[in-house]
Amino acid sequence: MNTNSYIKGFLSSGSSYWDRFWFTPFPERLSSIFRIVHGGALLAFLLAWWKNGSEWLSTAGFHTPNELTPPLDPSLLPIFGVFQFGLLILFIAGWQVRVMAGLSWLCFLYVTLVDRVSAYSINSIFLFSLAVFTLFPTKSKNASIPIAPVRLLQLAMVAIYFSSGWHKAVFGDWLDSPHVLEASIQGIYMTDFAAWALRTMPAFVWPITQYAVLAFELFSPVLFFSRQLRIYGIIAGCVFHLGIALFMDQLIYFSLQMMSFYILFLPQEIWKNLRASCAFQGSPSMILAKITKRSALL
Amino acid sequence: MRRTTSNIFILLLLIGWIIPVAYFGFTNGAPPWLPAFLIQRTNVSRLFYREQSGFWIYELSYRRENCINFEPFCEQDYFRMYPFGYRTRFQRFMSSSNPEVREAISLWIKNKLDADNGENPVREIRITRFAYLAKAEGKPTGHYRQPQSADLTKAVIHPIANFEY
Repeated sequence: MNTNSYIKGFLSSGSSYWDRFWFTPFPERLSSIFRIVHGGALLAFLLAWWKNGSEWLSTAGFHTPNELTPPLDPSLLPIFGVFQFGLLILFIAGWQVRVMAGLSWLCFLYVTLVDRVSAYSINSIFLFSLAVFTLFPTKSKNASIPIAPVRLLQLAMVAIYFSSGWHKAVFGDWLDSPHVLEASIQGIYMTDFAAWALRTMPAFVWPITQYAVLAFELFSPVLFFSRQLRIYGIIAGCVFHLGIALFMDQLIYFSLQMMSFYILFLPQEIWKNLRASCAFQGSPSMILAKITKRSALL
Repeated sequence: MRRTTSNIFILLLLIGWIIPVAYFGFTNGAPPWLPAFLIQRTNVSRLFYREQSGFWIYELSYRRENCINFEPFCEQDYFRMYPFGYRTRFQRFMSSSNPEVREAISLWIKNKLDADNGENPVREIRITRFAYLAKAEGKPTGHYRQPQSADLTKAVIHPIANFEY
């Protein structure tokens, strides 16, 4: 009898915790800002790649035979482009969000599968976020939505960071050799800026940066899920992704994609006060202190 | 939206994407429950984890009918796209260890070259590769530019495949 009541109590408290975790109201405005910025990152990425659209998506370029999704006839490319960009722009604009997200997901799934050699993590992450926007309502008449889609996106971002860090530390060479980062930027990704940095920066900068990157990824759950530390996580993440964008060719789109997730971690008060000009008056240290204080309260 | 439906979608995305992403990072392998089509799409945590001191660069040359010498194939003529980094799709396809892909790309290149010069069709294609070690080249002067084997004094050229038509 006691055991039964204990189990019932456990299940009941678990169920109420689940409900609180996934269904607490969340301001619709924040999810809309995320949709605009995240969708903008996808738009920028697609615009950059469409410069070589015929090689990428049509039979004008080489594609591996017997793929599930055949490449387009070159004459169909403009029509597909109109669909892809039109749907994405409507999604960003917030018109029929779930339908537009679903159709954009289908278009993006096609471009991901038709040329797998050009599809990377950025594709997988956009497919996930578009799936979230398709499956869950992110617009509401009463200005708040259940937090489930936001929680899923937050968990996804932290899962990517933490598992990447873990993999680097346990299965990779990041703890065994201090030259992994330096070697990574010297190859095919090396930009002019990276080449300049490799020529001019003192050698000790690279191991320090390497361990800082690893620490950021490994501590990402604490940095992003602790309200007190969240703002520092966002600042560190912005520096991390700015570095990636500067040092590694075309990874700016990945940086934009990942940084857009930070919007979902910002304290809601910041957005309320953003309109009020007084919110960001003062010295940078005062602003940081203000934001940190608000983060801790929320 | 009904809460039951939401719960199903939450579990679907957790089991189908978020947990597999973490699983890949923690175990260095694919989750056993994941269908094949989702494996590549959830393998996002295994990036830049090894110290890569060098990599292979592939070169293709072809011999036309009635010619003895091989001519070098210019990648940029047919592969102008650089999907992340300064590396063409040609190099990325060639990096695939699948010999069928190399055979298919060779045939595709032959057909393209024949379309441009049908009078002397391509009769033979040769694929070679050489190792590029970034550190051995000294301090970089600008962004990565793919070297030719002829540019490197110590390049050891390895034959990979030969196709006759």
